[in-house]
Amino acid sequence: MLQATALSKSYGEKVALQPLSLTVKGGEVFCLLGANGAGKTTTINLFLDFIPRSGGSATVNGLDVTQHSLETKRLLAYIPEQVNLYRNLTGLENLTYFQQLSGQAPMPRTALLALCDRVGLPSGAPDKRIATYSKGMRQKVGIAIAIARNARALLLDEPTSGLDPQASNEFSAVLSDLRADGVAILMATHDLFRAKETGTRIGIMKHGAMVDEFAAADIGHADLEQLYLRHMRN
Amino acid sequence: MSAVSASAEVVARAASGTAHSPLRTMVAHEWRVLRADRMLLVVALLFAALLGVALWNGVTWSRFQTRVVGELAQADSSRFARYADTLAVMTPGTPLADPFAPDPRNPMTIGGARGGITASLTPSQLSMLAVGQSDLMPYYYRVTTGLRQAVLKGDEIENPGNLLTGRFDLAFVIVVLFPLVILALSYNMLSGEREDGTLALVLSQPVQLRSLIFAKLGVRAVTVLSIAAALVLAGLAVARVDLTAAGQLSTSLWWFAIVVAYTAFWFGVALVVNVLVRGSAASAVTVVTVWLVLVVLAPVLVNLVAQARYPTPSRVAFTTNVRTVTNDANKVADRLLSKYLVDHPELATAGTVNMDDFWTRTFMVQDTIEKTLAPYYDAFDAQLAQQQAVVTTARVLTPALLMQTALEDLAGTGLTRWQRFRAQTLDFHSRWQRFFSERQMRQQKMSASDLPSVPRFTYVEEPGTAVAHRVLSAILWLLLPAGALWAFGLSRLRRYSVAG
Amino acid sequence: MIMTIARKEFTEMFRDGRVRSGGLALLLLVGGSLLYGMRQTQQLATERDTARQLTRAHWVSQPAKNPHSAAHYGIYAFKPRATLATLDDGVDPYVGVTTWLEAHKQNEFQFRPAQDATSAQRFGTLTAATTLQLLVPLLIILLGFAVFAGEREQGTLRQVLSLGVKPSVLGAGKALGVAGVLSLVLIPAAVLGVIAITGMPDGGSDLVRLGVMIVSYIAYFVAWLALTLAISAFASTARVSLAASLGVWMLVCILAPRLMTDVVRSVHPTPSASAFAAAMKRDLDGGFDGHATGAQREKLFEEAVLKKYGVDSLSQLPVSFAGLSLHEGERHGDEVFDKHYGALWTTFAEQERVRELAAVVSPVLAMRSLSMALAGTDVAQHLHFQNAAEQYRRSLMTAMNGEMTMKSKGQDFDYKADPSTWSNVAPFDYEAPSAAWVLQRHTPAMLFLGVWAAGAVLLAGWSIGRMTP
Repeated sequence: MLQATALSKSYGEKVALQPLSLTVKGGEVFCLLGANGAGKTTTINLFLDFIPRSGGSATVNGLDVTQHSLETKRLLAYIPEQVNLYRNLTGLENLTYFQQLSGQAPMPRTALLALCDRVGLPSGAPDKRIATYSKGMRQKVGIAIAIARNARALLLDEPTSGLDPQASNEFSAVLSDLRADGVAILMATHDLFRAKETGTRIGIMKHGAMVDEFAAADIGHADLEQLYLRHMRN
Repeated sequence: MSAVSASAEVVARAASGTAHSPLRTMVAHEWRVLRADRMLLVVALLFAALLGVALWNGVTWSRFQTRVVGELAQADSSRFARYADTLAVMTPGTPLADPFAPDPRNPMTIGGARGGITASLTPSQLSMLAVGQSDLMPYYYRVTTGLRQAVLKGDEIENPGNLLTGRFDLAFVIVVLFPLVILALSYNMLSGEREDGTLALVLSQPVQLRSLIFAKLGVRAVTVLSIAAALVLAGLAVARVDLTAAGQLSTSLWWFAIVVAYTAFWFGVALVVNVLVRGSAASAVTVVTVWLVLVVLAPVLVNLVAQARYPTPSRVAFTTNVRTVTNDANKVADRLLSKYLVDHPELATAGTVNMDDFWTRTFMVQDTIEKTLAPYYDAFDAQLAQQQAVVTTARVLTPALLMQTALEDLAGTGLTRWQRFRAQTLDFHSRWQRFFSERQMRQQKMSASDLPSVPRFTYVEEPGTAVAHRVLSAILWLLLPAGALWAFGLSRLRRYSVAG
Repeated sequence: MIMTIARKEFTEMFRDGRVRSGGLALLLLVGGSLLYGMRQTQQLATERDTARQLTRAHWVSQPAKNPHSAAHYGIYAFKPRATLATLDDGVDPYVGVTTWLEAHKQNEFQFRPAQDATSAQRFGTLTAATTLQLLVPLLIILLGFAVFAGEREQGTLRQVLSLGVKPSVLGAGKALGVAGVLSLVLIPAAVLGVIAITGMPDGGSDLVRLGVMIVSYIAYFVAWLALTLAISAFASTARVSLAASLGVWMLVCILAPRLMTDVVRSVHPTPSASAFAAAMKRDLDGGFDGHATGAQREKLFEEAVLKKYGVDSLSQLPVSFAGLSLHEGERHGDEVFDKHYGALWTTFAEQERVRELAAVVSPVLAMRSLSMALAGTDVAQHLHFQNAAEQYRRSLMTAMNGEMTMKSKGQDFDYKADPSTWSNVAPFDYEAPSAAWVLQRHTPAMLFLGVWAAGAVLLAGWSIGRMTP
């Protein structure tokens, strides 16, 4: 579903991403680990066509993200670290807006409320303004948007950082649901525990390059931490 | 608000090809966001209130001038009615009942300083749209057989402090404040969403930045234009302007057309600032600077250049010149007759003109004074024309000045209509002078049957097409930079980086 | 401590390219307007001096003629150009420059310079005053909007306050920093202004006015600076602070003055020229009661004169009845003029007073009024000149009619006065009112400006004191 082939990005002399190749199939969760500035967000931005690439290609469902910017976005959903929504609109209004932006027919209110319920938004919250929401609640609206849009691939940029353990756990549960539905998920994260828990594949990035890549099932929690720290020290 | 809401719907529907196009969603969404934000409400209410006050001021002023012009016409016609009554019962020889009352049998009683007639410029039906120059320039003159200078000297009374500041009229609201309303609503369309973080989320959806910005601009443009249109239409209704009359309707349409062009220009500025400037605070500083330069400074600097380059001749020196010329003419009054007769052969028959007659001498002297002063008058007009040329040349740099001039033109309160009025008054003045001076010099008495042949002043309006032509040219000069701004903004939009 | 903060603010702001270019542009505008103003003032002063001498020469060189004839010939009064008009030309473009002082009539001033200009004139003229009143506050906002709000946004305010810096010290330091950058523009501008004024003939005599003007502008800037800092301390983000400060600027500097024009006009309506002239003509022709005709009044006056001199007929009078009658006509005219022009000028003065009272909502109205007044270009000083010209006309008429009364006999208009009579009349020498005269009339403006400055400083102190990081 998501495929990068020798994808690279540089700002003048400075290389932000060395040629990177990765594939995320439907039903897979690919976790990108790495320090700040390792190139994780750049990779996601390149998939979103937010920044022009310097080389290689990025495709979604076989479509190039630059040439088919709109078509590929129809398949994608994006959840940043901070899901920023329109503060003066209610959760439900935001959800409606983003759902319709993808060009779908408007969903009935009951369906949207059910969706809010599914992602764990407290009842009554959907009709309150976003300004009153906690970070976790906004994150949930972000997921609800992705589900409502029936996205086939999910790009997550440190989605659980700053969430309390319970919210983080609920978030992972929803991700597992989506994976089960066959959604391809690319997630940048610092949370080794979550990566091991929800990920199917894990990649470690450093200075704009992928230095290691392996299946999550092949490694234990403690080993993952050891491996990560070893890569960081070298 | 419901009218505006309805028009947002219209835009949304027009923008949507299919039932659920993202553009339609974005337009409806923008409207919802704007509505949920108190900023729009405050700005819209303020804007509506200011428009209302400005329209009210315009209507009041227009009514004031119409009343004054009406009273003057009334005074003239009742005086002429009195002349008619007196002349009807009199034969050339009968003495007046009141020896001190003016005797209308003498031509100079009717034509001279104690008689005369008012030449006035009635405010146009749509003068409420701009006070323009009508508070500074005289809108009526007292025409007598006196010198041109004496005819032109009347001014409307006004506190110079008020003239200095200017009126709070509709033109001020449109030219100066309207851009601010536009810029306040749109300076941070992109930077605001970027700072709130929603822009990335929106653009991770299958929508183009270009559609997003069109939706944003469209909703804002429709909102501000609907408010302006609704209030101005209400103002026209209150002022009982008959829009079915051909001239009124086309003038109103031109008015809306140029306001739309001006709106397009300022939204173009907003677009470019949105695309080029990253932060909201920096955007705000930039738009205010652009507004300051284009609306406040550029017209002032253009005026400065015009006056420094083509200074108006000194009115002070002119005044003393008039005196010198008058003294000289009086000294040689006797010798003036032969010169005068060259220009007035109809009076040259021997014995027609008596040089000892007080009036005859006066006319001779006046004629010489006018001839000597003509080059001075021309010099004033020529310098003003040169200054105007500087202003015209600089028009692409001064959209505010362009707009102000066009709005005054449409309201009939601009310099063009006034200069036309002055020229027609001067023309009428010479006809009036000729009529009475010839009678006086021939010693012809006035009779009741002569009254209808006394010249009357009616201002001949410029053909509507001429005004339309100038307004069209102003619209084009607004659309030219507007088009450039839009083209530049949209092309740079492709390079707009959502991340970072 | 304060100086450390001020130095940091100064350095930070001075490194901002926008601040430097804005400051430079402002300095250029002030410099340019001063140069243009100087040129204007010198040219106008020369022009009007020449004209004054010429009109006097015209008067003096009259041949032997009847004094009333001379009175009709009259003399022109030319409004002198105030030296400080270089800085603020005030209402000068909108008042006539000359009037004809002749028998029987108080004429209006003619030739408003703005009438000889294009419509661009109505956007205002570039003077040092407009730059200082409108643009310097903008520069202050540009410099000061972020001092607290920006630091709050970046989180540095939290750090600074955690160091135990007293908010008042921080506020004073930042104010000094902004003032420091501002002075880089304003001190050269002030020096240029003082050089321009003192360099002109008569410039030295206006030093008191110039001094008060400088102090007023400083108070005005203090008000803006404190207001900007107060808003910045209050606002959650730099963007909010900027929007609020700019909003205040728009309302106060752009909107309020215009709105006041129509407010003052509706509170104290200006009469129409035609109604004014008609009312005056009615009183001139018919006396104040509006009933007596000219002939009746003439008759009454004749009886009174005969009674006073104890004679039966005009031919027995030892003086010229024509002279007495003309004098009586002037006296009656003067009463009528005083009544009508008095009412009109009171209306103008009231309008200006309301405008000045509106300084409660807009400090720029107080500053503008004060600046024009000190420059000698406000409505009151124009009327002062108009009044002086009218008083001179009256003295001239009294002299001419006196000459007629004493030297001629009966109703004799054939009497010709000797040419020396003309030069015996003193020339019209106008003396502009003193600085004290001006200040006395503008106590409210000074008071409001002071209240604005003090109020803004208090507000800033309060809002900085209860500032949250």
